[in-house]
Amino acid sequence: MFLHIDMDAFFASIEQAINPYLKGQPLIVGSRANKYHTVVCAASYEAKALGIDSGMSTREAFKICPQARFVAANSARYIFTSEQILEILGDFGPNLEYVSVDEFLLGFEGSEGAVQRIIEVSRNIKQAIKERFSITCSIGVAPTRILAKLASKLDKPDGLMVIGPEQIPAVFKSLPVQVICGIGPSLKARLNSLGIVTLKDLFEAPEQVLTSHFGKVGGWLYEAVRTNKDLPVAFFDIPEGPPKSIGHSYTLSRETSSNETIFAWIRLLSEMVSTRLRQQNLEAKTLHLYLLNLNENRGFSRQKTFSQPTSDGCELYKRCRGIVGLNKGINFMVRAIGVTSSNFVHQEGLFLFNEQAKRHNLLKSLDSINRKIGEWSIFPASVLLTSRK
Amino acid sequence: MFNPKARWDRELPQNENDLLDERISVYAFFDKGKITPKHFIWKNNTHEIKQTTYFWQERQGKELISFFSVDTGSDIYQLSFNNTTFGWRLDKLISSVCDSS
Repeated sequence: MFLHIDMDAFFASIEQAINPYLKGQPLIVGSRANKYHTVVCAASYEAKALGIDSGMSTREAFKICPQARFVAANSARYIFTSEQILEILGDFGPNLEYVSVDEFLLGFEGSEGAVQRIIEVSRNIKQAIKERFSITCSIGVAPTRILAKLASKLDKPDGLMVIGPEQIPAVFKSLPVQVICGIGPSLKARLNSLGIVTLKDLFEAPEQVLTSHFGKVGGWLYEAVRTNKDLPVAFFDIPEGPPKSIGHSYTLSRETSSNETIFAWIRLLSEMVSTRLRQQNLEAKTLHLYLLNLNENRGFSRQKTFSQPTSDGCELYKRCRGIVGLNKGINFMVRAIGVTSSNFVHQEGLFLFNEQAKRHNLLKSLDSINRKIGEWSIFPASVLLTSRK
Repeated sequence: MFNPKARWDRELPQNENDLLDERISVYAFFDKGKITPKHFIWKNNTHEIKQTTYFWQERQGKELISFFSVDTGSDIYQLSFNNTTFGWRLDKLISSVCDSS
C-alpha cells in the first residue's frame, strides 16, 4: 500500500503561518516581489475559490480580486520546510520517496489488512505536520502510487482518502480520465474521442486498443488503472535515458534594451545551463538563444551547431554572443530571455591541449566549491549586473 | 547583499519602508539545539515576542542563517540569527496591525 502526502496550497499556507493575519484571506504568492509585474506562483484556497491559480499573471489575478493580499515567494522557506517534513516522515517508515517540494510518498509492506494501521499512521502524520508548521496536508492511501496520488487530490484540503480494492469500482465510475496525473487536455481529448471518458471506461478498454492508438503511453494508461503493477506516478517519470535538451529562461520584470543587463542575464542563464550539463557529464554542440518582446510579439530566436561540444558556461555565453552577431548589440526592448543546449555528447575527459585540461579542472573545482559551501557560492562577477534595475 | 540562490527574487519589496535590515540585541533561549527569541531591543524600545510564528534556515555561502517570524502582539517582524557570527538582525516588518485589517 502507498500513502501519498500532498501539502495543501503549500507556499500560500506557509506564508499564512508566518503571518497569521493572512489566514482566511485571498492570498497571492508572486514568483517575484514586483506585485504587478510577475506571475502567481501559488494561491491560498480563498484565492483559488475566486478563480486565481498558479501561472496566471498577477495583473490578471488582481483584476479578479483587487483586495487580495500579496507576498513574494521565498524559496528558502519552502525548501527548508519541505526538507523538515521529509525528516518527520522518515520516522513513519523507511520506504520514503521525495516526489516534489510539496509531495511525498510512503510505501508500506502488506496489503489490504494493513489499511487500518496505515490510516492511523496517516492521522499521526497530519497531526505531526500541523503541530510543527501550522499547515495542513491531504493524504491518499491506495494500492499503487498513481491511485494514492489521485486519492490525495480527492479530499482537499486537510483530507484523508482511502481507495482500497473495494472502493475502486465506485471511484472509477465517477471520475473523468484527466484526474490521473499525466493525462493532460490533449490526451484527454484523444481518449474521449475513443469513447473513454471515465476511469471505468479506461479500465475496461482493451490493452491492444490503447497501445495501437497511443503506443508506449497506451501501455502505461492500461497499467495506470490496475493494481497489480507498481508504476511511477506519471508516464513522464519513467526514466528514458539522458535528456534531449537542457535550458533555462527568464522573464524580466519589465522590458529593457540595456545590452549590459540583457547580456548579464544571458551569462547567468549560460552558467545555469552549463552547471546542469556538467552534473550530467554532458557537453552540448547546439545552442539556442531567444530574446523576446512579449508585447510587440517581436524577437530574436536562433540556434547554431558548433563542431566542438562544451559544458563551460563562459564558452556557452561567448557562443550566444556569436549567435547575436559578433560586436553586434540588441536594438529592441527585451522581456524574455532563454538559453537552451542540445545535441549532447558524453564528456570524455580527454583533451588535445593543455589549456583545455586546465579549464576543465578549474570548472571541476568551482563545482566542488559550490557543492561543498552552497549553490552559487562562487559565480562569474558579470552575473552581478543582473541585479541592476 | 547579492544572493545568487534567490536569483529569481531580486526585486525589492513594494514598500521599501518595510525593509529594516538593522543589527539588534535579542534575548533568546538556546536549548537542545533550539533557539527561542523572547524579546528584542530596537530603537531603545523593548519588544516582547508573544509567539514565533515560523522558523526556517538558509545557507548563504558558508554561513547558516536562522530566520524567525515573530509576533509582538501588534506587529510581525522577521529576525535572523547568523550561526557563524552569532549576530542578530531585524530584517523587516512583515505585517503591522495597521495594515492587516
